[in-house]
Amino acid sequence: MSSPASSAARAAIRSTGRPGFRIGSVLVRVPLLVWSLVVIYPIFWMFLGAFKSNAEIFRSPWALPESFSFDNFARAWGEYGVGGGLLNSALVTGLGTVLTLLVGLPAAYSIGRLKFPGASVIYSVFVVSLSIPAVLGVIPLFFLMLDNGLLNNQAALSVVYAGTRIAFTIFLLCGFMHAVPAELEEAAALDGLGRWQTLWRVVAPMMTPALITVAVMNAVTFWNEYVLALVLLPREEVRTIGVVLSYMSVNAQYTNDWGGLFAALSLSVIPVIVVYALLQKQIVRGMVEGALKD
Amino acid sequence: MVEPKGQRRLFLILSTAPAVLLFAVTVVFPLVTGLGYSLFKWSGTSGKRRFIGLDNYLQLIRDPLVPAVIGHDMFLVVVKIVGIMLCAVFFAVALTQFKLKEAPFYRVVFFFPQVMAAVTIGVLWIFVFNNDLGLVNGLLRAAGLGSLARPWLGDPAWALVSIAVPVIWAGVGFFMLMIVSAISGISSSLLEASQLDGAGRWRQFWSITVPLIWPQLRDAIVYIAITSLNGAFILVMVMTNGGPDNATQLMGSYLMEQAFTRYNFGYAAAIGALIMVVASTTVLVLRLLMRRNPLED
Repeated sequence: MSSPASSAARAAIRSTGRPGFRIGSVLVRVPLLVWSLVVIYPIFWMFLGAFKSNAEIFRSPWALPESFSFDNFARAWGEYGVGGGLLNSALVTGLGTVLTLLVGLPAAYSIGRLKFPGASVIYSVFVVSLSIPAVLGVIPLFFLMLDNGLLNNQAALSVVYAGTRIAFTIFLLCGFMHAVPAELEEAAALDGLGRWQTLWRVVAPMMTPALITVAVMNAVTFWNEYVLALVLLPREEVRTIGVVLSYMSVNAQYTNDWGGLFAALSLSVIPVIVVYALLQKQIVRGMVEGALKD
Repeated sequence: MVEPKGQRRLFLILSTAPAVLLFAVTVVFPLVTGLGYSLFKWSGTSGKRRFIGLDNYLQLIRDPLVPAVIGHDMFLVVVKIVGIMLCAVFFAVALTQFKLKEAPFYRVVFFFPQVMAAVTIGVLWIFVFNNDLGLVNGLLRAAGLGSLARPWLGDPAWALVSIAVPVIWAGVGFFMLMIVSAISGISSSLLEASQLDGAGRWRQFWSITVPLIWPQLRDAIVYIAITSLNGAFILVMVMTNGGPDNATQLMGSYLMEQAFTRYNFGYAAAIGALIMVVASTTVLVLRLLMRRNPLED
């Protein structure tokens, strides 16, 4: 039994801690703050540059803008095709994300829940494929699309995107499948619901957090994807934002339009910042747990 | 559950087949066909496809660029593992051992570059390394070290080192959170017991925390190697296109150049096979090296 006095003494010790503790927590903040600056400053600098004229960027690259002008954004959006690139990216990202879920959830349900003979083989193949370097596949995919007249077709790229993430999606959803109590499915069967109805009306709603996590992770992956987009959507009108940016960056060496490029970079990052701000927890959990499980 | 057998089978087929088919067409078929391409001399138009057996692989062995390119990839793997693990472990311990009020801020900020596109990171860091306008040279000049300023990405001796910086910059937050989540999984009674023994925070970390989270640290290291071999070449494509004078060329960017700039599709496919061999060997060697927990005995 501890007396009130001794527990008060313990509380006092806890609040001040050992002598080294307070000095330590001050010292430990130095590297943390430095790294925060290292991460934030280049991004902050990019946003500042987007508001500066090119002359001002050359004169004082780091200073705050003398006045906030949206000229760079207008030029990037129209002349450099950033508007079109964002639209194309949104299209392939949206289509790819929906398709991955529509194909992935039923398969994850059958493989992870109903555990039919052969399910574990399919699952293992999916998991092994997650760590195979896939860049070799770009060449045959290019010819597959070329031969079938699907080059420069955004829908075709989103199908490829869905395919490249289906293994990961099923892997992650199978991991969350056990959260659905078996009794619910039995009740659904007693109510006369078929398998498909059980899947969409009972299982899917129970899995909503997992579905959001995997959807956001896939969307971020598709939005950021570069190599397949570069090879499969080469024509200027269908380029995604990443490809538009890479061409702009090459041209900026000659045009010196850094302001336009900063504006384009900012426009490409804003949607990511918004999604990250809204769904930070889901993104972090999904990415960290997804990586630890393989 | 009472359910006609045929109905169950139909559901299993209809629910699984689309995923398996999609996976087969967009992942398995390209990899298998890609390996097949490596046996042909092929400049793209189907008429000119000629079977040459293992000639592409012989060319791979004779290509003086190949050892250098593998070396660049290995350099990045090692620098990435050391750089990221040092920073990530330090920050993870700092966040878990010291109860800092602003810890959520660090988590959110440090992780953010992980969700940025490689292209965006690459273009941003081209600026950071820019000779006249860049932050790096600006800082050096401001510190009176202007003689060290150089066009980092244009200098063959420094270009690859410069590529490694954004690679680490982007990865630290992700692996920090991975390690934080591993440390949070340790039962707190173990840590409390060691504190009662008077173990210092860093000693407690090395003798108790590290052995307990060793499986996760090992996974993190392997994961860094895989992601580096799979993805670092995108930064190279954006930042230097393999230059100057192939000083930053990686296996992936070399494949892309051979395929889509020079139209040597057969040779590019052989490079693709090389990437698979190098990646699986690297993972195997890492797992062997880290088979035993160095601190356990």
